Amino acid sequence: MPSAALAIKDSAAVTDLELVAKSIAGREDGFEELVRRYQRPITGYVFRMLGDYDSALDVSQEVFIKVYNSLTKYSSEYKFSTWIYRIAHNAAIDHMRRNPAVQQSLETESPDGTYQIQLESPNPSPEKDRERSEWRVEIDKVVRCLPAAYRELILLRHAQDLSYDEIADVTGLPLGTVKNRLFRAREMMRTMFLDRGFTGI
Amino acid sequence: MKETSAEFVFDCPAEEISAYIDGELAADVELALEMHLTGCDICRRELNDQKGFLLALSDTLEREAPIELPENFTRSVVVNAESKVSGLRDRKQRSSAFLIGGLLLLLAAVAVGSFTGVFSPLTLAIEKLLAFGSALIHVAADLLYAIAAMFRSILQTQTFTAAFTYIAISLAIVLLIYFGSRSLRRYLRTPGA
Repeated sequence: MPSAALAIKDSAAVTDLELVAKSIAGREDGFEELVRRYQRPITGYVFRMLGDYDSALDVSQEVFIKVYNSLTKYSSEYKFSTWIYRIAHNAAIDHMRRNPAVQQSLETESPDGTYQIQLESPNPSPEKDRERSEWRVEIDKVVRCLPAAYRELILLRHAQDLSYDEIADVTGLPLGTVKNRLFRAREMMRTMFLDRGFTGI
Repeated sequence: MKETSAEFVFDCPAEEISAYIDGELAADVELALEMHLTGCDICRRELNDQKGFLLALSDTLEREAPIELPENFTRSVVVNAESKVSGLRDRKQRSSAFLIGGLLLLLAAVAVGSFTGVFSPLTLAIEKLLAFGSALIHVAADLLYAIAAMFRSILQTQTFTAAFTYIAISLAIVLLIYFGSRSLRRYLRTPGA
């Protein structure tokens, strides 16, 4: 038990930069560890951007292949996470451009709540928990209804916890635009909640 | 920046409040906003509303996205990345290019040897190689003659024929080597892919 905990701690202590160096040196386990570290956040981000499970897996795979092929071009002036999100951002935008239908379905709300099923816990929950999970379902729905340009800022800020500077690096937007768009995206979300009859927001 | 901050008067700045909650305001703007907040009930309420909403938002979105990864996802990503070589695998590609270049050079040397007879004192095996090489070269040369003849018959112009033939022949050689090495490389790579 303690040795397992120690091993986990050890693997966390290795920085992304060291893993990048390992991968460039041709060590397969270096890249594998990078994938392990980022597969969930990246796939989650892409999934929330695209709203489609299969596309999210495909695009995430593309992202990691791109990462692998450009590792030698990675410069440590950016955080590795910023860099990989930038690649994921570009891949997601590309995908939406190539498949305008996906974009369409994102802008309008889909009537069958497929995501609700995945979101809600399977076992019946007490009143408070249910209220909370309803909240979550609602938030996920509203995020999906946002225009893509707003949605990505909301996701990068609130789901991935990036700073304004990092968001600017990822999206290529000026800092002022990040601040302004994020504000407007939040306002839009609040309005949507009020329209849906959620008060006290 | 500093001048404006001293008398920075906000007109109930909802956008600044949003950035303030994120901790993304410059120190002087932050100070000015805090001063404004002490005297403005509307903005204080706005701050509280936004804060509550953003906390709920982060609380929901920071959880893992509702997505299950297939069991073999990591493995298949790694394998795929490594087979779709382009950046990191430069070295491998380069070495295969060297190999092909070397083979071509050897073939050329063998061919030259077969014409000049330099290699005649060598062993039987080498002579066989020479014969093979020269046969290849003869076939290639015949092909080139045929191509040149075709071109010549197509272009009957008197003035350009000689020069054109040379150009056509050299072009054909270059193309032959290029496509030959390409298909050879593709052939060499297929078992690994």
